[in-house]
Amino acid sequence: MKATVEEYLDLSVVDITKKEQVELRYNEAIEAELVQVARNGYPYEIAGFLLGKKSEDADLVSEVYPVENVAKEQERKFEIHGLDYLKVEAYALENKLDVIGIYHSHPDYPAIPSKHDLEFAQSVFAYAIVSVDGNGDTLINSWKKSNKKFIQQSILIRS
Amino acid sequence: MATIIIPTPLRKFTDNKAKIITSGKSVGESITQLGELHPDLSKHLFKQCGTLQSFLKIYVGDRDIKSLKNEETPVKDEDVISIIPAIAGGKI
Ligand SMILES: [Zn+2]
Repeated sequence: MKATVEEYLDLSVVDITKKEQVELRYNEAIEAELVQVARNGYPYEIAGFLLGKKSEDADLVSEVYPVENVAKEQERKFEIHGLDYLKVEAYALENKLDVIGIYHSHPDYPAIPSKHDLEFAQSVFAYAIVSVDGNGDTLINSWKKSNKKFIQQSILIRS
Repeated sequence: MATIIIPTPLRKFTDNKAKIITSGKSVGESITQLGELHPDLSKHLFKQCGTLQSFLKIYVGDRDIKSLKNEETPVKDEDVISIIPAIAGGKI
């Protein structure tokens, strides 16, 4: 890893002058699950969906829905199969949940979105990135695409 | 006739409707009709030349239409057509 997080910040990808108004909220069990899947997947990227309820001021996550990473270079990329996407939308509809967003891990890399993340980002989704290193240390940041760049979304963890 | 499932990112163009029933006999007819019902959605579905956006996939049931007859894939009443955005990313 480079010396400081700043060295990873690409200002053409992230707008640090703005902040997302809608907060991402989840409890400690959800946080533990995200940390665990990222550690289990190391040194490869893992990915999945965050399901729950969206309101005006918060994206409230009640469920983590892991899916397979089908990218070719999984040490630095993730890709979700169309069939898995179809299944998660169907599951959410059946259970009256919203698809709040997508999580993926960044092994040995900060929880900052990349150009590649931006290319595929949908402004309606929250993008939670779990940074994980070889010691199992993790950090989660969430992002939303707004005006062609990512802005950070604050996370509130409830016990 | 078929039911089209609209993915979350495109529901802002369908008044938040997740399922829309169309009367087309093929995938192409159904999707075109969907675009006519929701004109704002149309430009997110198709390029100017009229072909489907490259970051979208269409499934009938659990099959990608590319493995069927593409837009000419016939649909029956009980068929479910899903529009699927590409979901990808990574650290580099
Ligand atoms: Zn990423």
